[in-house]
Amino acid sequence: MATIIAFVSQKGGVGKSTLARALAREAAASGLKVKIADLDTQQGTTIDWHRTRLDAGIEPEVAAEAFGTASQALKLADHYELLILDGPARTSKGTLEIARVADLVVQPTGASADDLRPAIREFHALVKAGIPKSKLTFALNRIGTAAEEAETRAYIAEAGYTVLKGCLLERPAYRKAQNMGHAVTETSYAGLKAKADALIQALIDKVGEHG
Amino acid sequence: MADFKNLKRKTLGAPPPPDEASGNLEAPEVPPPAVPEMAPAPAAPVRTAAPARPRAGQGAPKRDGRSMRRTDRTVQFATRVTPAWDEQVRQIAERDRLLLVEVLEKSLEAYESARRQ
Repeated sequence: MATIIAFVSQKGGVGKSTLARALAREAAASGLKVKIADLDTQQGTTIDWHRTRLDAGIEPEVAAEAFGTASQALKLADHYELLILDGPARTSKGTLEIARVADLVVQPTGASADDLRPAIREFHALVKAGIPKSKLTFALNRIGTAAEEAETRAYIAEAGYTVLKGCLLERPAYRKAQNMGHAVTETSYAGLKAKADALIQALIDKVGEHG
Repeated sequence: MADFKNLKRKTLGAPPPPDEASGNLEAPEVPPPAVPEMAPAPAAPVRTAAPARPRAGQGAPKRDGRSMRRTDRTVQFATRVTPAWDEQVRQIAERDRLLLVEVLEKSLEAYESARRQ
């Protein structure tokens, strides 16, 4: 049975696919048998990114496939070492199904109250449905300043949830990298690459803690 | 240097308490299909001013308020008729609550219809 890491959010544009791709890329580079299940069939952004990556011949190859429901994707779990679920920009009964089987549920968020309040409510709902808090964590994305990061961390901690160490900054270089089929950990800017690497490592460490 | 970090005003406020959990987990995984949009009502004819036409006998187009508003949906139709004919048309229009032009249109339809038979 694969380790299952899910990226969920009620909102679009918070970084689910960005982190899913980076994690998959790093896992593939480490020799793991990994697959991204893109559950957002309406947008299919990771499938598009996968196609761009294949067309550009970027190594390592990262496997990605679209699925209409979480249960369809979970059937793959026996065939991989790491299954990454890239959720749609909405939460539903499917999110709960994912959370029950996932080893870690990551909810990326920006630093605005508009991002954070609904994000906290989504995790509250999962906890209310019986998902242990230890499986749930936030990842900070599109952060502007160190002060903004600090306040966001304090807010999430006050709500009773953990946040992964590190964050992705709001930088066009990350978007540019992904536009070309790269992951954020493959950007040519060393400082930004190090930030992305650190965040993905924190994610992997978090899975280790829980597992 | 003193560290005033703890006294800085928070901009995010307090996070939502647990009893404010989202209700989205009750939503079906596959969203119901969107309600098909109703066919848009036929658009009302847009009244846009027609290009200014040259005045009779002159090269330059006439430029005044009326010509700016003109759409060329209708054109002027003037002719000379006898007082009796004028009276008769107006009586018909009044009796049948029609515009003068509608009496003329119906007359034309009747004429063409009779001609085809």
